[in-house]
Amino acid sequence: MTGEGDRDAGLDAWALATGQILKELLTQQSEVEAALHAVHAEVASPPSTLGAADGVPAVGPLPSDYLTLTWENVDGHAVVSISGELDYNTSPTLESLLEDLRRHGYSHYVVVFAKASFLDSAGLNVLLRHWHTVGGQSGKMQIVTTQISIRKVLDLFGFSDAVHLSLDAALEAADES
Amino acid sequence: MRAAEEGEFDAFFRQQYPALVLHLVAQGESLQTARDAAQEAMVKACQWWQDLQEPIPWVRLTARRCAWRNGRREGQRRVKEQHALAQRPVAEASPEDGLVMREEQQRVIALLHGLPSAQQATVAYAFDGYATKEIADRLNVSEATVRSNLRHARRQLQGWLAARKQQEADADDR
Repeated sequence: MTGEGDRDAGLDAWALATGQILKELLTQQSEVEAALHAVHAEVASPPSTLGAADGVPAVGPLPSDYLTLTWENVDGHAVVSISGELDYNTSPTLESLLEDLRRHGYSHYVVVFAKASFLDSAGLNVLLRHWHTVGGQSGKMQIVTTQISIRKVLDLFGFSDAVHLSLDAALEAADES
Repeated sequence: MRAAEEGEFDAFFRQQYPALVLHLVAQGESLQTARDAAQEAMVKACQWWQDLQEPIPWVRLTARRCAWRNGRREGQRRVKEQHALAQRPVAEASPEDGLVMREEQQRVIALLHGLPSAQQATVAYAFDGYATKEIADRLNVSEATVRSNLRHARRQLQGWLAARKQQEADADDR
């Protein structure tokens, strides 16, 4: 007679031991090192054009696969225009641009979703982080979008007061604050 | 990335990369797709290292998404090829031979891919060292189901493991 306990004896240990054998069978030590090397090489050469030697971001388009960022200085406000997809892969580009601008003394920002087709949680995260970095509620970051889908998401996260339909409205709101 | 963080990431990579590849293969991905996805996820983990609260589940989820995106079609083609290969008899050769290694890889991958998907998901986590209860919670099934999936998977892999042990014993005798 075999009870359930007997049949299951050592199942966990079996799985762990078999997992160990399979890990070693599928990936040799040398392959681990080669893959690690490849990862560092890829991280060291980011696709973005940011991070130039002098650290000053160039005015004009910063190309990325799915995202185009441009920025200009309008009456002391940094106006950053986003077109394309702001997602997991592309949002670090925006984050580093915002960070560079902040380091160069900008304190008021207008983020314009020009033709942005997509904003996901990673993009939202970047906006939220920057929002807090520049002082939270004090109206230092305005957002311009006409897209209802993006507007809805921003509303959910409490950006309602900062969201405007046009650049002029956003600049006006920024001047008032 | 600072030097201390880089050391931390490297240690994480060495420990987790083989486990990650196995995790993906056990879930039905081809070896090539699994390696590509594991690497892609690790690149992202490296870039976001400071922000990751729980890197181990994070890279698993990220890698699965990468694999799903990159390898769907190609993966399934390879699985079919490997199924065909699994039907062939075991080749007799010395364990030093790299080709045999690859043959053995392919045989075991075919065995894993031959399991029903519920069993695949179960062993993928069990190989990672998750306890029965954790697997049950994660896959939203009962613990009894997890145990029964593991038992079935063990039976499927038993022949291969026994043959492997025999081979090792033979090699030791020589």
